[in-house]
Amino acid sequence: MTDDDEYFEDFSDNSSIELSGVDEDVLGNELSSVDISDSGEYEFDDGPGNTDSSSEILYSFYKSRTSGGIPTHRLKYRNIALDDIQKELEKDVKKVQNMLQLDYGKCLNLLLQYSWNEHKMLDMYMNAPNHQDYLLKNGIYEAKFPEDLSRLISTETDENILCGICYCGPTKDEPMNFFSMYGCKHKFCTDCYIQYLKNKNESGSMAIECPFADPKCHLKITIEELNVLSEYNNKMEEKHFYHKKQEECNLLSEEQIKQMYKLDSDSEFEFDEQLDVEDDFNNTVKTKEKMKIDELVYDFHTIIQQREREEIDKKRNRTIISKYWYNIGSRYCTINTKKYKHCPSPDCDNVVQFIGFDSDIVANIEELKRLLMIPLVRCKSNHQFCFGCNETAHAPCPCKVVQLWKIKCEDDSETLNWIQTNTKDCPRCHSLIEKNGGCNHMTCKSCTYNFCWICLGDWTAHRNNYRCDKYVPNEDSDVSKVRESLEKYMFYFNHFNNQRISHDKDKQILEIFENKIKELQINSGVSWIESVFYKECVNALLECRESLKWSYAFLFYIPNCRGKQLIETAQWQLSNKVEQLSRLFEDVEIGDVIKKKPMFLTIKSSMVTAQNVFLETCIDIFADKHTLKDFVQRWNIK
Amino acid sequence: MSRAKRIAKELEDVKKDQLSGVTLEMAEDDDLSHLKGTFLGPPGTPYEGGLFEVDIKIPNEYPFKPPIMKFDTRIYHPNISSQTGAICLDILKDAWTPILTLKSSLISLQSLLQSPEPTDPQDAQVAKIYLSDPKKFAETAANWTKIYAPNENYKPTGKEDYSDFTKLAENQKIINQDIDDCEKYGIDKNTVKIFEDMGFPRDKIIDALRKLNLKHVRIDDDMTQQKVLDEILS
Ligand SMILES: [Zn+2]
Ligand SMILES: [Zn+2]
Ligand SMILES: [Zn+2]
Ligand SMILES: [Zn+2]
Ligand SMILES: [Zn+2]
Ligand SMILES: [Zn+2]
Repeated sequence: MTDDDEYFEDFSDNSSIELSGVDEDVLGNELSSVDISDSGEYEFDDGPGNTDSSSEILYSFYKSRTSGGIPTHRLKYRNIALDDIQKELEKDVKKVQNMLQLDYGKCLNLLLQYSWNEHKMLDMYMNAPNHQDYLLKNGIYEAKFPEDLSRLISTETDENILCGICYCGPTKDEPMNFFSMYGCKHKFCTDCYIQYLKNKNESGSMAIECPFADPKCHLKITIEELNVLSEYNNKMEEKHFYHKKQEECNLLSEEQIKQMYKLDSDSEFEFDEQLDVEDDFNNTVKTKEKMKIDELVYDFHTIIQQREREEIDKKRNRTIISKYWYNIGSRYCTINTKKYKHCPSPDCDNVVQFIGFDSDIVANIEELKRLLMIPLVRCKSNHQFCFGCNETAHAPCPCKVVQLWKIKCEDDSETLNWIQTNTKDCPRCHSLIEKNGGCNHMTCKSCTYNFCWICLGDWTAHRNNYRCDKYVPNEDSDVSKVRESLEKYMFYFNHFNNQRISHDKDKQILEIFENKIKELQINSGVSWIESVFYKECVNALLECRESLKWSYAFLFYIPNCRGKQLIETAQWQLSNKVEQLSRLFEDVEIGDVIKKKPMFLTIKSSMVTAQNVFLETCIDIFADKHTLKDFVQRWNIK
Repeated sequence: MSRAKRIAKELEDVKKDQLSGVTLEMAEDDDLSHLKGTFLGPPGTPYEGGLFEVDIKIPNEYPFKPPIMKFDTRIYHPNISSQTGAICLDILKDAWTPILTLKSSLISLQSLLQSPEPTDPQDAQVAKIYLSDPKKFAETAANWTKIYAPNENYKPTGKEDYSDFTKLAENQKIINQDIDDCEKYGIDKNTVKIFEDMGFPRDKIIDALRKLNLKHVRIDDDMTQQKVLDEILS
């Protein structure tokens, strides 16, 4: 232990842990939304989402003060979809359109060119000696679009025409469709043009240039032109899709359909969740209970067709045009990063909009970060992430400490390769044991020895059943300081990594579990609604594992002191509950799931309480200004 | 489907064209995704008289994604790695368009030998010498050409005059000193452009990139871009 550890002794005694449940009080005065777009250049009169004040205001923490009375400086936010941003951006474009009297898509391209910096764009436009040249330089052909742009696609039969991309050409008997932008006459076949745009879309390009290259054509495709090709592509894909489905449908025999739905004449009707047509089908059945089977089969076909249509619609949501808007919206969030964050979950369309703070002293994210607070937000689809750094949730570890830890892990990864292995020898008989679930209580299959995965110690020695969380410095050893610090790091890294592995393994087990639940629904008529509770448990479990994982990184940076002990106690309580729930998932006989529902829910709710207490404890520790200052100075957190 | 057809057509076209001095062949039988190309060193440069072989891998998305090219022949050039043969050329990256061909790419490589782009170097060491001592650079490059890129069919013209080539280097050196902070810190120009396009001043961008120790940010790497933005705005 070093001398400077003492700094951390000194924090006010507000650490009594109260196991209060959910807190309804909102102590913090509701501040009106703080406008953080401080640099005038990026200010918008009417920011996206502002108009839709109906959507609920959410908070980054479940209460405004901890049980110890410490303010949590919550971030206030709202959930919106990328589409909402699109609607607002369209207003911006229209505004520019009114001023410049240009086609819509051309104004959009100009705004894109200037990263939505409308003032700068207009400035450049107004000061340009020749507007036409200026537009041309920006890839825009000034002349107004004709009414009907669909004529940009032409059917060719001339054998002299050749597509410069696929080197194919039409013949008299086999005509080909070609497309060219309105402003240039560079024709390519529609298939190639579409493929070209899709590829550009995938790489996130906007204001895509004409493919012609000799000399390079810098004309940029507009949203109107993009729409012509997108519509054309939809029609083609739809045709193709129906054609394929028709074939598949014809292949399904009546017998197969009956079997799928277990339609025996005398048994009750039971349905397969997998096909996801249960609800509709169920309703159909209820109203026509005594219906003859062949009529049901007919209905089944109708439902399937309806689903297919929906599937097409879903696909259409990822058409050329929608993907293009997706990219634009996403980029807009990046530019206005203080106000909007696009959910980092892959392919998630949701956006979190910053509103303000539930605090007297915090005015922006940077100040919040300096207080070591973590603004955790949830998108509409319940993906939790940090508004401060746009990474997945990492509480209780502050953003800057996450960075420090990542760098440290990268630096030390070579020496620690061995830790990452997922197998260990049984400490008694040395047979190889693979960790098969998230729980740390291991039982050797060969010698039935019960031991702890982390320390390889006898499990009975883990007094409180699930305890193995504390790093105890080896007082006797006279190893060098360097070695000690590495050992300390390895201890925390081991735990950190172990939670990561457990997280993954939990996920695997839960997948198997999910399949079993499905079987259960089929075999014993348990309804989907009755079993849905376990999903809540799963999400909570995985989130708590993340908290635990990051808590080890955090603890690594906190010197030994009373505050650390308090955090460790709360951490242990959480870890205890997490292991209990994880074990329950692993052990439960699938037939007993419904019977054990109360048990699942009880453990889950005490786990969530433990998590809240744990996070509050971490907040309490740094409520003391000296403690905070010392910590920030020690690790050079700006 | 159309990809195979197009590659086959390109191979055929190059075979027909005897004038350009470019060749293109399959590396292995019946594998259209791995080719080898050759071209001649441009006259009036230290690469004159050399025959350069390029390894060409063709991605599945070709021609919508560029071919992946690298030099098999060792070469001394600012935009080509003297170790791996990796090439730094815009048309093989962001500036690629599906209308370009393997032949046009090889010809672009040929002109790259004629006029190097030291501001966007692949081999920083080589680029440094190119700018600081063009004569010495030309000598080394000519030497490497003789050793690594011998061409039996080449008939020497007798005089080895690279004055045009070295003059170009001298000019680039002057321009270079004026403008380039990017090069000084080894920061990718296109990366700076991403943020310039958003309306931020160049010096602020370079400061932020240096603080974060970033030399290159991919255009589609929103995560990193955001970090840079945070830094610029902080
Ligand atoms: Zn084509
Ligand atoms: Zn064009
Ligand atoms: Zn999401
Ligand atoms: Zn964060
Ligand atoms: Zn054993
Ligand atoms: Zn243990």
